[in-house]
Amino acid sequence: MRSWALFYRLRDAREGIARNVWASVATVILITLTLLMFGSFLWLNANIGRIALLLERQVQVRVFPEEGVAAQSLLSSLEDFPGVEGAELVSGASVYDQLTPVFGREALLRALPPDAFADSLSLRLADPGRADEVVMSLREMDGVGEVVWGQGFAQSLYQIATGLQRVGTILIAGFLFVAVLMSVTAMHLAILNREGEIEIQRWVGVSPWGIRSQFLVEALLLGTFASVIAGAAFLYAGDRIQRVITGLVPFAADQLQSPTLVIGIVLVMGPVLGLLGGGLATQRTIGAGAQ
Amino acid sequence: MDIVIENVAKEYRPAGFSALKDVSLNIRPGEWVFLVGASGMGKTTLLKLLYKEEIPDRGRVLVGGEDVAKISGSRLRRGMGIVFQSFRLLPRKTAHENIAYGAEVLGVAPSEVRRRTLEILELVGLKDKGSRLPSELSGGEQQRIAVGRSLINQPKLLIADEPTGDLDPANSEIVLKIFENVHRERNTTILFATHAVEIVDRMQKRVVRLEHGRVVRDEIGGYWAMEGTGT
Repeated sequence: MRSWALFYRLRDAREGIARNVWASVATVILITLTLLMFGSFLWLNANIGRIALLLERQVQVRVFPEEGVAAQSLLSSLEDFPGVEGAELVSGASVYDQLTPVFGREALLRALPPDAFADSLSLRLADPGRADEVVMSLREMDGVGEVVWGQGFAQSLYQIATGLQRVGTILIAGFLFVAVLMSVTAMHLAILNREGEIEIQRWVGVSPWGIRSQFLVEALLLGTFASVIAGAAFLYAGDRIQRVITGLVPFAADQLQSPTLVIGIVLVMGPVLGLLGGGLATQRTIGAGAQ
Repeated sequence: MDIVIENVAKEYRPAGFSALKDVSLNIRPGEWVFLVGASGMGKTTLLKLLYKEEIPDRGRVLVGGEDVAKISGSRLRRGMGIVFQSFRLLPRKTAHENIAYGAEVLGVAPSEVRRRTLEILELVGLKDKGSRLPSELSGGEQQRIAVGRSLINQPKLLIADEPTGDLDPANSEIVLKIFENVHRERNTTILFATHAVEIVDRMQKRVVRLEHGRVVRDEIGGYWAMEGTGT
C-alpha cells in the first residue's frame, strides 16, 4: 500500500505548485539566483585557491654559500632547518647549461666563463606565509653567504589570494543561509495554503512524518527545478566566464578549474536546500502540531 | 470497537475550567451511543479524548483495548472516522476526490480507492454528483460527502460531533439514515454528540447525558430528556 504514497505525494506536490504558481516561480527564481551566486563564488574560490597554490610554489628561496664553503656541505643542515620543507642542490654548471639555449654557446662563452655561476641551494618552504621569518634566520646561519627570494610581489599576491578565499567562504555561507530561508518561507506559505488537507490527514491517521513528506516532496521538486536551471546556466556561461578569468590572470590559465565540478555541486545543492527549507518549515508547524 | 473510559478528568488551563470530572463509561463493540447535554457540558472534550486531540489530566481511556495514552494519535485514528458539524471539505476537490483523499493519503492503491469511493458515493446517495465541487452542492449534500469521507478507511468506530447541527430536519434525516445503514451493515460503533431532540427520541439508542463535566444519565433505549424532568 505504501508504494502508492509516493505517487500521491508527487501528484499533490504538482497540484500544490500549480495552485501557488507565482509563489513557486518566485521561490525557484530566488533559489536559482542564490545557487548561481553560490556556484560563481565556489568556482572563483576554487580558482583563487589554485592560484594561491601556484603562487605558493613561486615562493622559492635560493641560498648561496659563503666563499670557501661547498654548497653540498650545507644541504643536510638546510633540509633540517625549521620552516624548510625541502632543499635541492643547484650547480653553477647547470645554470650555465640552462642559459646556453637562450643566448647560444658562443655568445655565452664570450660573455661569461663556464664557472661564472656559483653552486647554490634551492629551498621549498613549509609555509610560504612565513618566508620573511625563515629567510631572516637563514641569513644568520653559519656558512650562508646570501639568501635571495621573491620577496614582496609573490608574498603580497599570496596574502591577497588567501584573504579573498576567506571572504569567499563567508559569502558562500551567507548565500546558503539565504537560500534555506527562501525555501522555508515558500514551504511555510504552502503549509498555510493547505491547512485543510493537513487537518484531514491528521483525522485519518497519517503520521506527522507522512504529512511532512508532502511538503518535503514539493520542496525537493522546487529545489531540483532551481538547480537544473542554475546548472544549465553554468554549462552555457562556463566557457565564457573562464575566458574572462583567463584574460584577468593569464599566467594562471593552466591552473583554472573547469566548471564541471561546480555544476555537479549546484545540481546536488538545489534539492538539498529545498529539503532543508521544507524540513525546517514543517518541523516548526506540522512537526510540533501533530501528535 | 469497544471503548472504556475510567475516572477521566480534564481541565482547561490556565482558566481552570473543568470540562470533565471523574467520567466513566463502557461502550461495547457495535453499540450506538448518543452524547447529549447543553453546550459546554463536556461532550466535545470527551470525543476529543477518544481521538487524542486532548489528553486527560486523570484517568484512563482505552479504545479497542489499547490505552490511548500509550499509542500514537495517528495509529489510533486509523481505526476511526470523524465527522464534525462543519463539513470541512476541500474546496478545490470534487465530491469524489474529497472522499478518496482520506484513503489516498494512507497510500491505498488507486483501484481500491476508486472502488471504495464509488461504493461510498452510492451509500450517501450522491453517485451522480461525484464530479461536483463542494460549492456546487447543498449543505446537506456537503455533509453527506463529509460523512462519506469519514467512512473511506472502513472504520470500526465513528465519532460524530453534532453532524446535523447545521442541517435542516430533512437533511438531518438523510444524514442519520446513512449512519443507520453503516451501523447496521458494518456493525460500526457510533458515538454521536447531538442537540437534536427528535433524532435521539426516534432512534431509541443508548443515551449518555453530560452536565458540568459529569455523566448524569446513562440509559439504554432512552430519550433526549428524562421523562417528567425535562433533562
